[in-house]
Amino acid sequence: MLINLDTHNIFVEDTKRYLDEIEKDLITLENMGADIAKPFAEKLFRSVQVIKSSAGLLGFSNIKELSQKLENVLGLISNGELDPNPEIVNILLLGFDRVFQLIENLHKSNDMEIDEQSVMLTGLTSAVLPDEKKKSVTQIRVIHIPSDKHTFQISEFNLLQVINQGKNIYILEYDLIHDVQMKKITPLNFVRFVQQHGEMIDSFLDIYSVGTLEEKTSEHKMPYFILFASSLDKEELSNELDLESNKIHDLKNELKDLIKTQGKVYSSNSECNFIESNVLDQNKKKILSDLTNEFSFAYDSLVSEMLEKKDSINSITLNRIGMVLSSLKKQVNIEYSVKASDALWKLVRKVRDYGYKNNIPSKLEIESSDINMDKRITCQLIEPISNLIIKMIDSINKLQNNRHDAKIKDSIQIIIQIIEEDKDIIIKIYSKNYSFNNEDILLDLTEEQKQINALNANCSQEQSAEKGVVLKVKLKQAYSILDGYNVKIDNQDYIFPKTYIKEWILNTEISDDIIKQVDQNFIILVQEKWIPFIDISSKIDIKDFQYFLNKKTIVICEVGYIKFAIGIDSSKQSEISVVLQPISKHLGKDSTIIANCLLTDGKIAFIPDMGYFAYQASKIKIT
Amino acid sequence: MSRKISEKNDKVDLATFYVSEALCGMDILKIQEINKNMEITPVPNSPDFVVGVLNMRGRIVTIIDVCKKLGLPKAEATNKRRNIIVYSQNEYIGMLVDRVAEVVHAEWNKVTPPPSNVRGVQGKYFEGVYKTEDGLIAILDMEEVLKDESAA
Repeated sequence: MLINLDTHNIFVEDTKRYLDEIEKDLITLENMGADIAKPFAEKLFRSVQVIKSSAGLLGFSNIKELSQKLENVLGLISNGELDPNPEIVNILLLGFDRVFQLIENLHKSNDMEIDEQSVMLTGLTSAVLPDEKKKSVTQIRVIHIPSDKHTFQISEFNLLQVINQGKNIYILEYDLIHDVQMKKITPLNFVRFVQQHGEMIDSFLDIYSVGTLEEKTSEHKMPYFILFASSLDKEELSNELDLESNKIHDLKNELKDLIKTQGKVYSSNSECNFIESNVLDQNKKKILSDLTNEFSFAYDSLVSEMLEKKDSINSITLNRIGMVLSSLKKQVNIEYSVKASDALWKLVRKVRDYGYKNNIPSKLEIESSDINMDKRITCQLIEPISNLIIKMIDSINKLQNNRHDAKIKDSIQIIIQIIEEDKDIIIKIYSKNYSFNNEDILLDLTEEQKQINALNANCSQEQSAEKGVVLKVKLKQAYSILDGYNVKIDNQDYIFPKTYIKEWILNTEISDDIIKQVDQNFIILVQEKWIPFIDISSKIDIKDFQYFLNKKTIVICEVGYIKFAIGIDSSKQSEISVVLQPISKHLGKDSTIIANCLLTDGKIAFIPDMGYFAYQASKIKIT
Repeated sequence: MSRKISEKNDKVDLATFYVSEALCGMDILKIQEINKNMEITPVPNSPDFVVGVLNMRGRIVTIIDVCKKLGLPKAEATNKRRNIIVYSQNEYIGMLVDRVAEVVHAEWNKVTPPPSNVRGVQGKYFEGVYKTEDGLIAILDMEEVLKDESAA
């Protein structure tokens, strides 16, 4: 018999083991910061998926349904959309407790109540989503199973979660008798095997299509359909799963509208194209942004060179280049443009969480009409702005506690108003509960100011008779943002553009037998090849080997076809996105930096002119 | 290019400061702020009169050593050094001076054109000189001081 008591016992044992680990992991998750919680939540997410899929295969619908709801919440945590605060972890724990009870009463589990936990988990999922996406949690999509009268009924939220990850959605058609039992695979191992190649969103065992399970003749079939999400294409999936191609049904046409909602790519013949995933899309955006930055640097150098030579900068050619550059910049801004209210909704959650943890009932409202912002900026704004709001909440709470009628505590309502003013975006933060006029109450914004300044924005506070203390964050509408690595060289911060970095040789010990002097320059032996070793901070005296020997890491750069090495003092890779500020024309024509930026600690970092260093490197003769 | 002295209003408040031993002044209205923030980041391969860059509340400002720019003998660095921040040619620039002195109420009609050489400095850097009871104030032509540095 394919599914027998033994299978159930194994399922119960396995699930209990998983639940035991999940409980411990959840407690750990609660104590982690939002950033490090992500990979941890992913691990939990995978464990719940196994429980869900196994329960689906064995026909335990309540366990499957509740696991799906738990999986949704864990998915939001692992995507960084939900912070695992005590309130959320508590709801998750209650949900898992119920799964445990269902497992304990496996054969009655389909008749047991799961409404209370389901409602709580669905509410949690829905609460963190922006208004227009909330309905996806309850909106059910009916997907017809090919050559079968049955359907999958799945919430659009579950489908959107995987679509957002750029995965293709398929229905896999298995026959448990031939594909599983006759190959002597246990059902649970089968589930684990399939899950290695993607995500089982739902599954359906068409038990009515077969006579009795005891009859193992070739005429009998036990169709088992899996709604499956995978980044593999149909052919790859067929090979990996050892399943005939005609048993894999691609749902790209059925789900066209959902893919469109997510604004994803379409092929030229208007069919949605799953292969071109979000990841690729993101990479393309980054490449476009990086190249536009580089183009902009080159253009600025050209203009200043012409100015120095007293040449006209109004030439037709230069204007033409300038126009292409501004169109590219515009395109980059469009690519990263996002509705401000969508981008900042996380603040609503953060305020609610803070209020819950500290027993200060608080609510945040965002008024923004249709203003768009750069999402690379908004994601860096969440932390300083939520800290500003928390400071405001604390201050109001203190005031309320000091009042004579301290027992009457109002819920604190914070309003974020986003408006456009000339070429700037102004974010005003105030509270209706904060209408006093006492200068002593102004908040200390030093740290948040530094973080906001790093975005080439500024932050101030003022008092208004109508709104009380108003915090103002002033941002630009267009930005030049560089993705790079923050490194230290001779106690100075530099940002190396990612696009030019090919390799890191960390914690290396540089000995004098791998460095040679060639004329006035140095070369280094890397992977059995001599390449130029460049000093970008101009600190080195000629013949000073020692300078290079003290470097902790070698970074291999490649600009065009020119490869060179730079020695740095940092011993780790530290990725960063920075907002560029142009360099002053007073720095002169010999400057080897191309732009500068502020870091969140208030320090200034330089972006080295990699094009210049590549040119220098190309002149070094390596024999 | 600075306007002719005769075109200016009669009265002007001059912020005065010392560059090395020279008492200089400039129209106080041209000054954005004066700060004593000396957390200046040196910039590799910049001209020697560029001290470096400074984070002024989120704005990266280049600091120019006026003493070096004018070619005056270097004074000993003290805690009285200040950055005079001005807005010139679409950017904020800090002019590092050795000491800030008082504000002098001057009358333009008493400002005389600069001689070709003021205490060893080329006259082109000055709008004029103003005589007070305590001595001469050389009025800096900020635009001229900050001009053409890239070609200098």
